[in-house]
Order: sequence, then C-alpha cells, then structure tokens
Amino acid sequence: MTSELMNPVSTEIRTDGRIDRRLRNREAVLEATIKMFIEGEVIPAMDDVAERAGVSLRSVYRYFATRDELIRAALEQWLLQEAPHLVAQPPIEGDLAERIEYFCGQRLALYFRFAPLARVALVLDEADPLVRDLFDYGRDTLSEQFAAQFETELGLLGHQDWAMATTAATLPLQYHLFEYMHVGCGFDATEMHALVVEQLQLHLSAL
Amino acid sequence: MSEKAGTLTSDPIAHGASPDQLRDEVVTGDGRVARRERNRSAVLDAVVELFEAGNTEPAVEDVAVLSGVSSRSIYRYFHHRDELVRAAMWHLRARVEPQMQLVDIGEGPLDERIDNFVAHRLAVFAVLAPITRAARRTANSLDLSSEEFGAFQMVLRQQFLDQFEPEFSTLAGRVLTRAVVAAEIGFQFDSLEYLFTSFEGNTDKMGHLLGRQLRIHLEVLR
Repeated sequence: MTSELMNPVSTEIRTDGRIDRRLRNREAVLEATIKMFIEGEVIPAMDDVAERAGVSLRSVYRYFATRDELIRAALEQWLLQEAPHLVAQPPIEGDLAERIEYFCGQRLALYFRFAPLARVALVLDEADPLVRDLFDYGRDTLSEQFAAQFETELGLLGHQDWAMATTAATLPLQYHLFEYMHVGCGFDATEMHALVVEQLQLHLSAL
Repeated sequence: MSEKAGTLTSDPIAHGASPDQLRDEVVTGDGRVARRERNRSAVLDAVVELFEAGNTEPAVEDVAVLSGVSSRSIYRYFHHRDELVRAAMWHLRARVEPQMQLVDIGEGPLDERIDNFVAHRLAVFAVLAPITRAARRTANSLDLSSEEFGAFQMVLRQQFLDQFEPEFSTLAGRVLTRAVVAAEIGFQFDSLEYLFTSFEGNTDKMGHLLGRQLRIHLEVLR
C-alpha cells in the first residue's frame, strides 16, 4: 500500500474514481474484519472477510498481502475508534469504600470493553510494537489512575513502599488476571467485582 | 502468524506426545531406535538451551550446531517448529520434575510455609519462564489447547492447596474457589512476568511482595 492511498485528502486521489472505489473497498474490508473481531473471531479467514465485506477474495489480497497485515491494519483502526474510551477518568471524592467500589467498577467496564481487542492483539504477537504500546499504555494509565484515586492512602509512603504497594494493589486489576478470572475460572462480572473490591480493601487498609 | 502445523502423522516418536510409547520403542532393543532416541534427546536439550538463552525462535541450523545432529535428521524427527516446541516442553518437564517437588508440603507454622512456598515458586518460575515464553508465542498461532500448560497448572494448583490446607480447610464450594483464586493471583505466570518486569528482575522484591500478599490473604481466613 503506497502512502498516497493511505491519505484520502490528496487531490490526486479525489480525481480518480478507481482509487476512490479502492479506498471504499479497503475500508469495507477493515470494517468487516472489526465486526468479526467483535463477534469473537480472533483470526478471521480471508474468504469470510471478503464475503462479509462484499468484495472478491482477490481484492482483499490486493489490499492486504497477508492475513497478518489485514489483522494488524484492522486492529489499528479499531484501536483508533476505541481510543476515546481509554482516556482516564478523573478521581472521585468519597470515603475509601466508595472510591474502591468506583475504581473497580471503572476497571471492569474497561476490561469488558477492551477484552475482545486485547485478545486479537495477543494473537497477533506480543512483541509487535502496536501490541506492546497498547498494553504499556493500559498499565501506565492503571497506575496513574490508582495513584490519583488513592492519594490519601498512598501519600504517606516513601518511594520504595509506594512502588511496592501500588504494584501489589494493582496486580489483580491487570488485564491478564481479569482474563484469568473470567475465561479461566468462569467468574461473571459480579463475582469479579466482589473479588477485586475485596483485594483492594485488603491492600489499602493494610497500609 | 505462522502457518498452522500440518497434519500430524501417527509416528509417536516424532511427536513426543507419549513418553510411555517412547519407552516401549526403545526397549525393543533396536539399535536404530535407540540412536534415534539419543539424537532426539540431544536436539531437545539444544532447543531448551537456546530458549533459556533468550532465543524464542531458534533456527533449525542453530539447533543442529548445538546438538551435533544434522538439520536433515531434525526435520525427520520434527516436521514443524511447533512440534519441536511441544516436544521440548515435555522434555523439560521430565527434566525439572524433581525441582517441581515442594518439600515438607503443608508442614510447619504459616509464616514458614509462606516463605517456603514463595521461594519455591520463584525457583520454578526461573526454570520454566524461558520455555513458557517461547511456547506461548507458538501457542498463539497453533491451537495448542494447552495440554502442556494444563498439566503444569494442575500440579501447581494442587501444591498450593496442599501447602495451605489448614487455612482453606474450613471453606467449600464457590467460597473456596474464590479464596484460592484470590490468594493465588500473584503466582500466575503472567503475574510473575509482570512483577519480574516491574522490579527489573529483582527476586528479593518479587519475593517480598508475593509473601506479603499471600500473608494478607491467608490471615483473613484464620
């Protein structure tokens, strides 16, 4: 794919109908792939994608040389669409119990929203920069939000203890552990909520 | 994404799926089978060594050099890289079996049991992490429905239950499951990886956090 094709505002492209169609089709292929991701299809077959998008299999391969390339492009697009939901929520006021409830609720909502995307990302390759960025970003915002929300409890700690306490308390809120509880242990949202609330209570009241 | 493994043949040695079948083949006294088994073992040792050195996708040529077995033979024993990783996992498992044992399981005061358990899990993690990382990368593309991971996990879960039997003995059913999952959270492979990264490989810090976390959970049960 050349850079001109990736850039729909270029005048050259607007004047050429064929390129317009190509872009539309490429878009349709990406949208179809994302829909299949959402339905739980982690590695969609190329011919299924073609059928869903209403284009020929040959066209799909013209836009994306390999399935990896398609999955990566679709993931990137999906991530852009979802990005606004990743933005950190400001901390709330309240007693410790209220803040724990709120925080865990936020994290779980985020997990259920992003789990399908994360599953695709992990199938792609853990070492892929896009995937690594996604998970690093997720972890960083978790730590930041946690620090902001529980400043009262953490504020009195020295740097070493602070790092230790934050790592310990945020561990159960990591994506892989939500996945472990939900998929591995068959816990539903309510059970998961109860479990992580209890975890945070234990950790934060131990400070 | 690598391609799916081709159709598996019925050759038990090439696939390493059944250690019992392997043994049967070797005791037939057929010299060729014995040599083949020796070579195979050398190949798997080499794969494990490369994994441990951080090479998650060793080239067959590297394996050949390290094991002294020709690339051609390696391809004869293992038709696909995924098979090689799978077999290497079984191989490593047999090798680390003694280290997997937790001595004096369930004995002593709680503090002692916690310390022993944490030290043991960190040692097991050090042994298994390289191969697990490599296997996961393979498992992503291969539908490795984790017979290998599953077997390990069962052993480790049982160990946890045995070590803290006195603390968990009053619980049952869903409450027990939840308490066990909560207390064991830090010892999941991904958790250990996360802590390993967070603490830049400092095992003392990892041990400190894991011990503290486990203590918090188990003391609630008393």
